[in-house]
Amino acid sequence: MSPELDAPERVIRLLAVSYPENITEGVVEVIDYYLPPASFLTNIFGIKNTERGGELLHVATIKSQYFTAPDGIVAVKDQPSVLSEVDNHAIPSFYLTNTYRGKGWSRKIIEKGIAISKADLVFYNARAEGALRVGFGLDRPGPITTDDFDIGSRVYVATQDGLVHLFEQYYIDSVSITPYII
Amino acid sequence: MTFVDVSQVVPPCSELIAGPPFCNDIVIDKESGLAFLACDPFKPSFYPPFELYNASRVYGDGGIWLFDTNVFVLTAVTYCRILALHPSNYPSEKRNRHHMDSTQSP
Repeated sequence: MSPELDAPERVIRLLAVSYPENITEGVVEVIDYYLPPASFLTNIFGIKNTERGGELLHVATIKSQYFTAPDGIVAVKDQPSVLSEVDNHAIPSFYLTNTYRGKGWSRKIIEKGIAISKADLVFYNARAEGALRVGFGLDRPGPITTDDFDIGSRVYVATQDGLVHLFEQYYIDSVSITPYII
Repeated sequence: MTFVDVSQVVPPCSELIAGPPFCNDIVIDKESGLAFLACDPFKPSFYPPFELYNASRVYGDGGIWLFDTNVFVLTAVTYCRILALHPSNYPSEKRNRHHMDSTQSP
């Protein structure tokens, strides 16, 4: 068997913010790109399309009431989803920026009318399948990144007022109640 | 103090990539050299995060595009290749594409 066939198939899992239904229903789509070993052998004609190669596969659509106007997203390895028997690829947790926090009249009057910055940064915990607001009072945040992909402990968010906000993640041990004694 | 002429450090394909307009994000898989772009040619008329919505001009679908950074054809100019990708099992409704990120299998 050739080395290229011995190599395991790789899956690149994409998280994409999209608005598939209407202007107020933003979601996060989980999409896999199957990259068989042969696809590594590119030539001047581009990527070779093999039996499963070169194609995207929609895995899941994540909705949340906290996705009020999602724009930027960054995946982190912290708190990934539990692996299933049929799919051993975890859905990663992620941070997401909302351009606006409110909807309807709240957005129209408070955030857009008198320009009070209320937008937020949301953390989606894939294991718990739930979202949580972790950053508040931002002016229409958009681009987001982290300098530590493994745990996502530092998150940078750019906002429309020209600022870059740094967030640091702290863990609270909610299980152990025994004081740590040296 | 040393000054660098930034005109000399522009990526070789920066002016030659012919792809879709209005790409919000790019994700690069370093192992394979593949770059994924979230693009939406209809963004000027449909941009939900800023409530830009002109129904009469929304006539298409945002997509994910693939750019293979390994492929360079050395002709008179350097050429980069971009392919459009659409998941085969997607629902049929239109969607507006925004930022994205990625992870990979272990």
